[in-house]
Amino acid sequence: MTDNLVTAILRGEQEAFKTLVDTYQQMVLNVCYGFVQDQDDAQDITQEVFIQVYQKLPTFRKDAKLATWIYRIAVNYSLNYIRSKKRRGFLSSIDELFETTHGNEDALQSQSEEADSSLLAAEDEQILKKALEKLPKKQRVALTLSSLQELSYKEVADVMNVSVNQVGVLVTRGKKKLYTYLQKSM
Amino acid sequence: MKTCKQYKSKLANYLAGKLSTDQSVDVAAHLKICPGCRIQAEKMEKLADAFLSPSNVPVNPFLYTRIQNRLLTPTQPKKSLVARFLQPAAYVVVLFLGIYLGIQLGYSTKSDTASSYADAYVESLYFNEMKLDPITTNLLQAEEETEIDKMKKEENDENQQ
Repeated sequence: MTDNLVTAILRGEQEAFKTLVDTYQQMVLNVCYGFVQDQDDAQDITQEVFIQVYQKLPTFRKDAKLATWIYRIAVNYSLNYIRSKKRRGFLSSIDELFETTHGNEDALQSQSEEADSSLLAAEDEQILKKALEKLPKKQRVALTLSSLQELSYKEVADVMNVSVNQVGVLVTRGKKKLYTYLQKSM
Repeated sequence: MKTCKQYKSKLANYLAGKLSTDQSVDVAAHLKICPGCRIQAEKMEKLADAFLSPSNVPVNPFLYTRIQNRLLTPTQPKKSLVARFLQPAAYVVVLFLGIYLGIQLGYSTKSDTASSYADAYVESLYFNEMKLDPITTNLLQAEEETEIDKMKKEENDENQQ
């Protein structure tokens, strides 16, 4: 099925590409969300992943599994996104230093109302994000991929180019570190 | 008897499933009787579960349309470093060269009219007059003459005496 789909897309059949997007959209979105922990960002990255898939499809080796190949692109894109966001975060924090608050009273009021209603959730989200940021990259990738229901340890190992045993070790160590960081952040 | 601090130090390993069966049973028993430790363990588990047991993120129904639009819109190729820096530098050089040439051209242009010759003659005349007969020379000469006159007068007075 995969072979036919790839061949059809390479022939220029748009319907085949739509089928590919429909088939893998949810799993790519879940992977991206696992890394960035933000739905809007995950949607944007998913779009970029499929554009990359379309453009790089001629280089896809048919002996590899299409899902594994797409997962790998999604992981790389998500990690790059996190890296560039850190850089942007530093620059925007400089901008915020020079920002004036007046003239935005309505926006501030609505923000504070929203904050009151979802203060705990936002706080928890920040704790989780900070703990995830501290995780070593490989452990984070292994944890994120293994937490997805669709993926077995074997598939995670294929995406990461490591052995199944190594995935097990990375997941266990990652979990321990995650709990430790969460405990420290609370 | 272990303290809460000792149990809390084992919580991460307990939740990650890295404790031995005996130790796990011990921590679990403590969590049942200690509300403080239990609340902390529950919160840690809840936060980690949000990441470790994620539910499906709602998909965007217009994703394919958005991808199609992006694929159909040609992206502009990024300018190379040379193009980004050399082009403005060349503009600046040309601008300054133009200004410099303009100034030089303004200085070098002399009109051969009657008034321009007359102006040149008057300038040279004033210049020559000042050089030949400066005010300072006149003043110095006048001083010298009065000194000589005084000396002559004194000599005459002495002779008469």
